[in-house]
Amino acid sequence: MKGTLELTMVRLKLLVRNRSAIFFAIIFPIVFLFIYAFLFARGKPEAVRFLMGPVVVLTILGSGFWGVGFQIVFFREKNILRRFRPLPSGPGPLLVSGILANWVLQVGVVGLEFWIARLVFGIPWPSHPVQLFVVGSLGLFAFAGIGLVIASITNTMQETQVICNLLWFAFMFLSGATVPMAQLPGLIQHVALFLPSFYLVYGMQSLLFRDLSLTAMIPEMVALSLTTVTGYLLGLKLFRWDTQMRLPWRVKAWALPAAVPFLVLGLWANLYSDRIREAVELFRAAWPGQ
Amino acid sequence: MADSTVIAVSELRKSYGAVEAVRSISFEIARGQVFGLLGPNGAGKTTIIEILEGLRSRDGGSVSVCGFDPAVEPRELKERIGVQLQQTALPDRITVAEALELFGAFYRRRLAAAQLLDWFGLAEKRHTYYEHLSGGQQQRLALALAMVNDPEVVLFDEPTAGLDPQTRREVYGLIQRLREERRTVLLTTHYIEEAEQLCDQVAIVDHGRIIAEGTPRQMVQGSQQSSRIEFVPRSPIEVSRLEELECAEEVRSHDGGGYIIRSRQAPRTLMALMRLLIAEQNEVVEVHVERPSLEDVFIELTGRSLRD
Repeated sequence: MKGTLELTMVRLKLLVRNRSAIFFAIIFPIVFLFIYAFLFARGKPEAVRFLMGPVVVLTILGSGFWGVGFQIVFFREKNILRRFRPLPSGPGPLLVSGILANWVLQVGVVGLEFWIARLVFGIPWPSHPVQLFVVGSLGLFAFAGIGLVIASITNTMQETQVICNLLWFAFMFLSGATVPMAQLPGLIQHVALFLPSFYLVYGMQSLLFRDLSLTAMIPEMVALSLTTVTGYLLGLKLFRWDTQMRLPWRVKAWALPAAVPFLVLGLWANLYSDRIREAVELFRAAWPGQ
Repeated sequence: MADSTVIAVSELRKSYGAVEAVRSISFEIARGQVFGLLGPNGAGKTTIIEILEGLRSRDGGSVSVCGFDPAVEPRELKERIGVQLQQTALPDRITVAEALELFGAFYRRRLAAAQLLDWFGLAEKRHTYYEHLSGGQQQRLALALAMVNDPEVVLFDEPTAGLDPQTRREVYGLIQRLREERRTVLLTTHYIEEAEQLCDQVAIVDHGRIIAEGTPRQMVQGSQQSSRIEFVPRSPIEVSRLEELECAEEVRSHDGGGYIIRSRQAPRTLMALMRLLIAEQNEVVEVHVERPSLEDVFIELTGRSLRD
């Protein structure tokens, strides 16, 4: 435990000492906040408040993929993981510290985004900050879990980049995180229900606009939690200390269990829930007349 | 297995597919001994040491390190051993002190970072980023990290590979100090001088087998290779007289007015030479004796050089 906490602290220090990490983890999401706020919301407080959901998801999605998953692969290629191999603790602390350091940093970044949005665009403080914190944290952990799965099944940094980018684009553009659900084609709306980013955007917007209780989001929270646990367990199972330990293609199928929670949730949501209608209504409430 | 035995390996085997990397290897290391596995690249040294560290599984045989089987109790074993692996790195922007604190935090028993900084001559670099350390300083830090848990047994895999001669000598000094502290050290190397200078006991490994084992002195003495005695007398001597010296095998003169005698029993030949010179009222101006090295022993046993 002590080693994990020490490693978490060191990883946070390494992050703030790395200009490129500062840009992508902190500055880049804030730039996106301004782009969304000026370009899509035209500075209107209600519309900016609605877009805080997509902005937060964009922030934590990128951090999970690159801040947690890609960094493991980077450490592996640089022979840094090898240095940790003789320690008595195994790979667990390397995974947990990555998730924790990312969580601490991103909680700060998301807080900063809300502060800037209030200061510059005059949005009100969230009326359910604790619920927002819980859902945001579950999202952070879940995307970190997906990042760990990607790191587990890829052999090189290039391969990791390709998979991270493909998933990032799918999660951003097919889920309502970029183009609102109301404006997505009908088929894509049904596809969105299989993507974790949809539920995170939906949860954030519901908490910002409606008095939605967390109990109404239990299936989503269970799916996010299961994705975190599956990602962590797969990360441990398929952990590789150096680049010589390459993974054959058949072993990569181990990544499939990580998709199960959202496959099940997607089926449930498509068959038995009103999530699409609710998401569309949320959009119309923020953008009357659209 | 004697009470003082800290590492015991018996009939150890390991294959990678069809390639037999380790073929029924056995050896024992006593407490406080510096033991070297000497052999060319690809001989199986790293596989052996990684099995002992609990980092690699074995196919057969038994292994005990500090009383633990690495395959059964790797965590307990890792608490007690210090390990330096080949080709490892640290994040560029971690400082020396942070690295020592970080790695120490994973062990139940640990040495203070300040003590390690002094010991490994890194006190002045404590706040320096890893990326700004020289190659020698990085290697010293790697060795310091292997000592953070105050280990009973230290395992070094090619501790001086790729280092310049001066840095290599620095590392030798650090390993000598471990010996003075009576810690048990197992190191792999393909440098002859490293094995000769540092090791109490050496096992020569080739193609996954131990082909010779003993102290460097015993191995050289047991060698069929001859020593080379080069000397310059005040007055010339007939080569035929030198050929009659005890154990002299081959004699030739060289341009500098000196002679080279090859002998399998250099002390005897030298004594005989001295007697001859005294009898002839001659004197030695210069003498140099070159014993066969472990490299010669390796060539004798395998027909190849260590660097082939």
